[in-house]
Amino acid sequence: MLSRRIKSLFPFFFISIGLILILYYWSAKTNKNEFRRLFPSHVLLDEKVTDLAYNSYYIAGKTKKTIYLGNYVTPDYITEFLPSAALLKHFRVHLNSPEKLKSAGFILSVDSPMYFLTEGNEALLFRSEFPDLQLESSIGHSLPHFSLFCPISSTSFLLRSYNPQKATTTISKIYYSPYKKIEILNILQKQVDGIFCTDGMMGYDPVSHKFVYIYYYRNQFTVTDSDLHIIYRGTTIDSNSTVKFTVSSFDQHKTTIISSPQRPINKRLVLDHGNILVQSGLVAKNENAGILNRYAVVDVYAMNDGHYRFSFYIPNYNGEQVRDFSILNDDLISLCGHFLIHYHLNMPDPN
Amino acid sequence: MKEKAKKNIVEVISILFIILFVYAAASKWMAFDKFQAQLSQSPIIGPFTRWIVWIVPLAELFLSILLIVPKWQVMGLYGSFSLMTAFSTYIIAITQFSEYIPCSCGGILEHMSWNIHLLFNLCFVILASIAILIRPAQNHFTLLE
Repeated sequence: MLSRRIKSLFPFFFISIGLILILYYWSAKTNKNEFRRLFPSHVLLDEKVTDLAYNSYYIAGKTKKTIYLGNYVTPDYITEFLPSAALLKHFRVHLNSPEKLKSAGFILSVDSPMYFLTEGNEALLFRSEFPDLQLESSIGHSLPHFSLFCPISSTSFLLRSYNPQKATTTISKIYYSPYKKIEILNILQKQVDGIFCTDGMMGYDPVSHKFVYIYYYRNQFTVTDSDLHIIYRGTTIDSNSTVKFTVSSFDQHKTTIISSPQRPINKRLVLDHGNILVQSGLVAKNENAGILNRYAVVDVYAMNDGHYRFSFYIPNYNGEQVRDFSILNDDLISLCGHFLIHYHLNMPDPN
Repeated sequence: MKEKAKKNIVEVISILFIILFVYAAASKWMAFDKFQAQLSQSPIIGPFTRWIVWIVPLAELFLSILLIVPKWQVMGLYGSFSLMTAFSTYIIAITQFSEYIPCSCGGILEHMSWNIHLLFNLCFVILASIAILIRPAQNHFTLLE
């Protein structure tokens, strides 16, 4: 009787698993996209691994020879990495109002020789210049609350903040002294709610003096000059030109979330030497569905006109996803878990 | 094992399932908007949210009723076994969508990590199998004997 009962469980077992698997494969199939990637060979060579001991590091900026890392947990520590010598150096900086450090979200940005600690929710900005380790809150004017910060020169910086009148996020250029704020309304284009739909990443390339904003949830990026005049709007290789999600509120409208399955199309933005590098969240037609679990897929676009050049993979390390990456001349540095991985980068020449 | 002891074990397991299902269904309904919004983020069942928001809590309540009524208890156990197997498979499948993993379980279950949640579900799969395997034979329900 016991074996009969065990057997009687089998159909229930397999039907239950089968139902979910059907849903899984159905949704995996619809996640494939109608575009193809080009893969030149041997883009990344010579993997070298450095153990950082903590997984809370991120890349804060770079100079000609050095990569700077910030740490989410200890925002007052700066870490320097010299790829040429595979050398790590840690040092601690000080704020003129140290009690402010207790705020959770300080982010380090390095635009050498300047470096900054910013906290957008409380509209805090501290800055200093290497080798000075004392940061000052040097703006004699209160800033708007901001969600992204990007240094561009010794006299000005860029912010992304929310404009309640227009009900959308906007980019502003701010001059230190005399304080001046120039808000540009036409860079970000609202499609749904003005917060989630315009969300994305921004960066400034000090070599070409170009500013790039790329959306998370649609295939578009915008390139401007340092005064935020639009040079062109480019598209990534997929065809998601409009955000696909809807938003809904609960808890008496106190909480608003995106209420449809939505993974970012574009996950990371890195600017380097006339190239716009975009880590993509999409699988191309000529790739396996599981590819995103093993690699960060990076698509490279030309900075001058936004055309697609090629793609390459940055492998995950030790089962850890690529959390951040940056390029310094012929070196590519990625962060996976608590490891820093350093490759020789062999960028194909522009054709 | 004596028939009496087996019967008691089956009863305890049924009660555990009833508590679990009623609690899970109630916490989903008490925060229905939230449940619906979170479920709709799921990469696997997102497109079917409209139906699943009703099917899952109703199935949980329906199974509780089956487990309460002695005559239907066996069906309830098979149903519980199937539902927990499906939930476990769902957790394994959704963790394959690596970085984007929304959660839509109510109450205390919300605070579990995916691995703990999977372990929790598998325990209930095993409990249901034990109950099905050791339950004393019933005259009025011979379909699955």
